[in-house]
Amino acid sequence: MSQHRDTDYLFKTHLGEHEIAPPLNIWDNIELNLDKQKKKKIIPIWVTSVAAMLSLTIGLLSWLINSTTNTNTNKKQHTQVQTTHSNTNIYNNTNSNTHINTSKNVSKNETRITQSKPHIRITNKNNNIHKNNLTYIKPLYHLINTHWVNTPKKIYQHTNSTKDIYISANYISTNESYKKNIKRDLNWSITALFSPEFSNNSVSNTSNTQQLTESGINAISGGLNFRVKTKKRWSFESGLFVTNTGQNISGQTNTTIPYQIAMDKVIPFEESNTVNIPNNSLGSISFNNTPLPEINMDYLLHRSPTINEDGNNVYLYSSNIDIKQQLQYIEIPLAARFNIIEKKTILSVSAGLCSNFLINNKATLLQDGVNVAESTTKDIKDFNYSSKFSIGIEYPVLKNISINVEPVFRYFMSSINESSNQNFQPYSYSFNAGLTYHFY
Amino acid sequence: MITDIKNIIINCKKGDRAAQKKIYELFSPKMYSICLRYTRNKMEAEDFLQEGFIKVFTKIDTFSFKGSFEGWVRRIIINTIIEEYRKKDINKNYYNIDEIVNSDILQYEDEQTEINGELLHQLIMELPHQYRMVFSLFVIDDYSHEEISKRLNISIGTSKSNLSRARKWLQNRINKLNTNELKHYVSAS
Repeated sequence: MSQHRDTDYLFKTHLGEHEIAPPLNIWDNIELNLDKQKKKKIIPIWVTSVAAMLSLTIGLLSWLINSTTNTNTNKKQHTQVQTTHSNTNIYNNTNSNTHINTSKNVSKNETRITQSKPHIRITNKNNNIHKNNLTYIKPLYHLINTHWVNTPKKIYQHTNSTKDIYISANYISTNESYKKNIKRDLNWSITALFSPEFSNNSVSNTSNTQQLTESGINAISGGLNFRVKTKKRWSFESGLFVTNTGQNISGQTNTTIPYQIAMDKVIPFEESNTVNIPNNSLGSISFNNTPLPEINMDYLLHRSPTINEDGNNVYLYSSNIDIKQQLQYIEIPLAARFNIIEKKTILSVSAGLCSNFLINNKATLLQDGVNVAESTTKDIKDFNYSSKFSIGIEYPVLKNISINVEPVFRYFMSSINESSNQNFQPYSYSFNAGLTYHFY
Repeated sequence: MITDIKNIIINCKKGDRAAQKKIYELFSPKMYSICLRYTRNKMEAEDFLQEGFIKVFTKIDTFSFKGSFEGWVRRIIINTIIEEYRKKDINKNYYNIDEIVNSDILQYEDEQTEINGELLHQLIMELPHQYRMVFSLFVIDDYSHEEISKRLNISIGTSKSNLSRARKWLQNRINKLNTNELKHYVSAS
């Protein structure tokens, strides 16, 4: 036995501090890897920023181009509007670069709108409706100014703008014809969205005795949005989204573990340990069966043990921990949206309430950098309400398809934890990007 | 010196590359020795040294100056290696200690031998991989048999048996070396 101890001592003293110079290229590889990881961290923010800037630039450019075109066209065009009486007949020759003749048989009782060089963009000829000798022109863009209906005077007022002519053309009809087509005033659309999401908590925990720091998490959320637009600028929407919230906890936790020192070794009395994190904002967690921290002799020699109720020496040990608490919800929103700008690019604001159904509750523990246990956050409600605010920018790319970008702010309206000790109302920011398909 | 290291660690937490390099320069020789002892060959040791230090730098935020920094780095390096071996279940194909060729022992017999870190490192490197790991974990890095069995995915009995046989083999080697050393001493005087 003594020989064993001598051998062990010989190897421990010599090899515990033994050094061998590593090859020189290893640091270069480490540096290269650290650079790559740094870039990876930067990319999502960079991509998001570029996407936002690009969307804004496209929106602004589109608006500027439209404004410039209108101004130029206005200078050249000559519009004549003749007085209208009981009936207004309009037809369209769909030859957008010639002119629009608004009357099949021009007479003193019909409206005539002519332009020397109109700038009109009309959708596929087949999309236009021919009924009762009337042609309803479908505009290319999803721009509906329904207040022109049955108010031919307004046509006159807006003939300065070429865009106004073709937009209104869809609706310049008799009152009766308009009513027949009222269904077209409700425009349905579906949008597929995904977004990087950053969650944070609204309450900072200052009574934490475990020296733990809480910070937000990054995740990807996404889903489908259904929207119905009324004839006004208002639309209403719902959908199905998967969203994430949670937090990272990092720092130190103190563990009381019974150890004994025997034969110059630290021997624990238990095989595993339970790590409790009671005082964090999201909710308490218990990680059962976590491996015991590795304690070396040097550590214990500098500390005085206490005796526990079983008569064992107990040492208080601090270990570095890193916990990721993640909650995943299915979110069903009900929101109202108002279009502030209804040109080629649509700028809108939206606000609404969401029902949130918990689908995943996961907590992961890393002890001294190693993933050691998984658990759940206690007392998390299965259902909760949240509010949602967003600013949307929509830009058409194809006949029925437009791209969407939408910064979103979500806030839980009550604590997501059932426990009265916890008041955690997380909020999150996300930047939705996606495609919208319009059913018109 | 302690303050110096603390400052370097603080700078390292901020992502300062010069501080990271300093940490690497300070600790990599010791960690490389550990990597060589815990891995099967030089190439694996280099890979794990690299992976371990990347982990050290990405997780350095969790180090809060309680306990020794070197101990923390050491644990991360060792955990990285044994975690990887456990995942791949590499140790299942280890061979028996009795298969070590005894002729290797002779290479030291005609040389002037002094028992130092380098020699002990060479000796331990002659052990089959699993024996070497168990011996290193238990004797040098203070792991218990329970912990070794969990980490290496072997039974406690296997851990104890590996340790016992590795220890016995190393003792024999050292005894032989001591005898030679004595012979050299006698002939010199």
